[in-house]
Amino acid sequence: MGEITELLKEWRAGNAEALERLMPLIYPRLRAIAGSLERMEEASPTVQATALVNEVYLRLVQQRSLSWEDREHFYSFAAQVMRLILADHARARLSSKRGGTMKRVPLHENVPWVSVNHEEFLDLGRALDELAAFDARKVKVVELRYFLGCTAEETAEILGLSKATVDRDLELARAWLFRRLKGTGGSVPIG
Amino acid sequence: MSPERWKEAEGYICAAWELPEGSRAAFVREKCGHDAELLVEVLTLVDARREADEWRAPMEEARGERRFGAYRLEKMIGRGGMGAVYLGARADGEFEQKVAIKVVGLPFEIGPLRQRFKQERQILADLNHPNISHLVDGGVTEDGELYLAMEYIDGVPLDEYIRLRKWSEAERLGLFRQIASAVAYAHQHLVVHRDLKPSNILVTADGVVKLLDFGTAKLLSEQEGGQQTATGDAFLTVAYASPEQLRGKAATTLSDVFALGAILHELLTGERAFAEGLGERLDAMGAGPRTIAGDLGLIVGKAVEAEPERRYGSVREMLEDVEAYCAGHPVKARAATWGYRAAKFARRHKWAVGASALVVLAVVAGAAMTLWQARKAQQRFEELRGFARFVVSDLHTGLQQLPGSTALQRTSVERSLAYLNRLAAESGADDGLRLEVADGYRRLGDVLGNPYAPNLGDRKQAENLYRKGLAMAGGVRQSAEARRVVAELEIQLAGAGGFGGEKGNGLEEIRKGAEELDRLSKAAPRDVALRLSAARGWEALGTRLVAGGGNIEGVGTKEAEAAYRKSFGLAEGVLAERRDDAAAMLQLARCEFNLGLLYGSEQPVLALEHQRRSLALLDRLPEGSARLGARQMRARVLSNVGWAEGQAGMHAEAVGHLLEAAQVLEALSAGDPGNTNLVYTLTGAYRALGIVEDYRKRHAESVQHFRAAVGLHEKLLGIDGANKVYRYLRAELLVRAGNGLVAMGRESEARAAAGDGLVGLRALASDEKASMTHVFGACRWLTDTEVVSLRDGAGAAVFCRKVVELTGGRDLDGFAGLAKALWVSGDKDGAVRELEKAIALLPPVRVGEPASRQRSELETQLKKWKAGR
Repeated sequence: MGEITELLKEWRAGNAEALERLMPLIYPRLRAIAGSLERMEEASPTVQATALVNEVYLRLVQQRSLSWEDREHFYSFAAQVMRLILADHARARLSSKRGGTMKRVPLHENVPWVSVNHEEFLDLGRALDELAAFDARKVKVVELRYFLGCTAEETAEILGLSKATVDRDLELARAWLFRRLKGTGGSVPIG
Repeated sequence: MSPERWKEAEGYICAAWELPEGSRAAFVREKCGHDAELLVEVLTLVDARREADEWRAPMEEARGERRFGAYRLEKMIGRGGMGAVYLGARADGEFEQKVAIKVVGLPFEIGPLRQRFKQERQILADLNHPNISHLVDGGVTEDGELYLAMEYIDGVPLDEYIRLRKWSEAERLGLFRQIASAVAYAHQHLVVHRDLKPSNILVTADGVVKLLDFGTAKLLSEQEGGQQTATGDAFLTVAYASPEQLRGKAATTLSDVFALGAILHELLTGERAFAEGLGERLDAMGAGPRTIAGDLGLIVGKAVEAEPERRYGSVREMLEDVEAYCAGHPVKARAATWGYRAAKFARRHKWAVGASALVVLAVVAGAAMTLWQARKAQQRFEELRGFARFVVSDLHTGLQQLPGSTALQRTSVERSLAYLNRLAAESGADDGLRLEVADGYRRLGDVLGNPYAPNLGDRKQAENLYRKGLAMAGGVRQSAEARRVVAELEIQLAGAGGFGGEKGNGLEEIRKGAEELDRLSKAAPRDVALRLSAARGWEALGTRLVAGGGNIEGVGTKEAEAAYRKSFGLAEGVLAERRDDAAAMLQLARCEFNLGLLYGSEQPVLALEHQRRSLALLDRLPEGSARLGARQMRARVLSNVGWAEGQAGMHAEAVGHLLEAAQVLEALSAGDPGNTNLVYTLTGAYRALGIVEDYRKRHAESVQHFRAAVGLHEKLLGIDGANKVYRYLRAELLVRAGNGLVAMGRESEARAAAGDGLVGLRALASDEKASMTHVFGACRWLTDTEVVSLRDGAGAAVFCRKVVELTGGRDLDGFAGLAKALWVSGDKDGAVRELEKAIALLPPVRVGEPASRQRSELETQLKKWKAGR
């Protein structure tokens, strides 16, 4: 638990090796999520899991100047980097789309209606920004759960919340996002 | 929505979700009262959860439209190997046929790879056995994806199957006989499964066994999770792997015998024969399960012997024993006890004709069979090896030519090495393969951190890989090829370790390596690649001798020149035979470039000549990939042409060339942000620009360029903080910037910059093992800083004396520096004396050439000092 915070401290103090020791701690997680997204790419080397993870790594390295206070900060940052990278790839894929038939690649099994190679993935980014305006915590939960592949327990531990709260936040955020992205809306009888 | 109202809404939504669906709306209406906005918010969100759960992808977007040969995909049924497995069906509807389509996620769309893939497919297509899931189709889609279509099996894994109900011993043995006959059949067809386990064996509703993934395991599977070892990249399932596999040795047909023994044990007892944990397995190596009584226990025991030679000689033999048991015949597993055989025999028959002769025949046939199988397996191994060779060398060479692909190279070489590692683990003592793996390590090392080529700046990792390569090549029998691989690795290791490290580091190793390659190339004069490798070796030696790019370590200059000339000669020789050989042309250009660097500031006109020749060679490179890869090289040369022009007093031309170089490098660097070599080259261009602008008194521009270079060095230090080259140049550039700032009248900024720089220079020069460049740097700048209050003549004199001492009085820079130091500290006679020594060491002026900048500077200085004494 304290290890990441310790390493971050060392890194900020100028110990370049600290990052090397830091990365393996989140590497398996990044790999796992990247691997699950790998199938979206048809023979395109740019989005192989390893490349994706390397990209996260490189972006982290480039962000040296950012001072991450603690573990939560670091994880949230990593999740956001993942989000940015996926958005970049989505954009790239959309602009090079051939013929229009593209298999869907859900961001996460809980949100099959958000495909990372679909316009809706970019919509998701906008929706998350909107949600953050009045409930930033839910966005953090979404990012950790869906973009970094954390379990509910891990998310709870990282954010210092109870698991029940994390579950509840995620359910609400998911409903809100679905309504915002896919819902029909307006069909509710007002009485 | 305000946070407060959202909180309120949240409460109602969660409460509503707790209620049965039918009563939610009423609950929400009651809570929200007449607040219509809140009501809509809450109700829509209450419903949204269910809608989100029920959402299904529109059909037209599903994978259905994608064709794989005659098949379309229906749904994903699993992930494994290197990609996903889908259920597929005939797209033309001609007849009902379901297939399992394995889509291979190889990222390469390259012709030769497809060739290999087709061969692999051919091997699978030849496996035609009722108990092996057979290959239906396979190939490459329009999108370049590789796929295999296998017979689709509607069954359950063996371990689940045996738990379905209580099966009789005969039924269990019946399953085993199907499995073993399939494996025996495969062995006859040059395929060793190597990963036999219950989850790879399906049983259909009719009780028919089907082996899956036959053959693909070896070439295509990368990772499947579960209890598989990832160490050494040899993926195997611990609980079923033979001891030799666990020790990283090659799997043979006898390894499959072992796995079959473990499976038979599990079939009979429902328990695993061996532990799942690697640690436990290794601890208990050799200890087999002893829980089954009687002949079956003996059969299992013989199959899972730790020593392969003590197992059944083949699967066929093991199968025969099981069949013998079923028929009540004696089993060979008990062969050691002749009493048993006789007893069993006596029980079965009353007559005993030729029984022992039959046994002998069976043993001989078994041995011959095993040899033949081993040879077949070897052929298959060769194929795999060809594949790995292709991926590692051809592909990598291709990638190296692409701009902006450093990160991609890393990925591809990593993947390729994973293959090689696995093959190496199987290869045992196969020397050729070990060398290829060693060579692969060198290539990956180059991509990661060879400081003399485009790289990712991970020097430590690069050194590690070079060391791994050397260890791999270490045990190999001596041969020319082995010597080449070792020499190349030694050179790279020494070069990487020496770059930015201590003076003289690795010099001997590089010299030995270069000499070795030279000898080898002379022994094989027709081997062009080897000759060019030797040329690169000599070049590396020259570069190491003048480490850091300066020519201050005068001791090595002569030898460096000789080394570059040797490199030049070799490349020229190749080019004479093959006029358009791009590699030779590039090597020649590098030699011209390095010679130009070497003559540097002392003989600017000569230097310029070499640089311009280098440029001409680069421009002559054939269009296409080689030329693209040479863009960075060209920018470096341009930047040195600019530098040489600046030294020769052609300031405007110099700035023009340097700016062009910087522009190209900036563009390349933006496209390949991971490439630190580019950044380093760029700092050189900015440094030269700063210096030339300073010559023509454009101080604002000069300071701006110096600062740009300082910024880039700081970026590099962020990646490699211990690097002395970066540390030195950053410090030196700060002092230079300080001088420009003084000229612009910005005193306090100047003091800050120069102060920072001088601290760095002193620290580097005071190091016990400081390089000449660094000692001289402190010597020079402690007197040359224009921030007068920071000058330290006495301190400089100490460093300068060290330079004179280190160069044995043969280098003029030491004397010139010492002269200045003495002048600053007030010893004017001493200063004039030392300066005269320096001038005496200058190369003579040639007729028709302008005097070098250095000569005119020193002579002017001397005049001034003599007048002012």
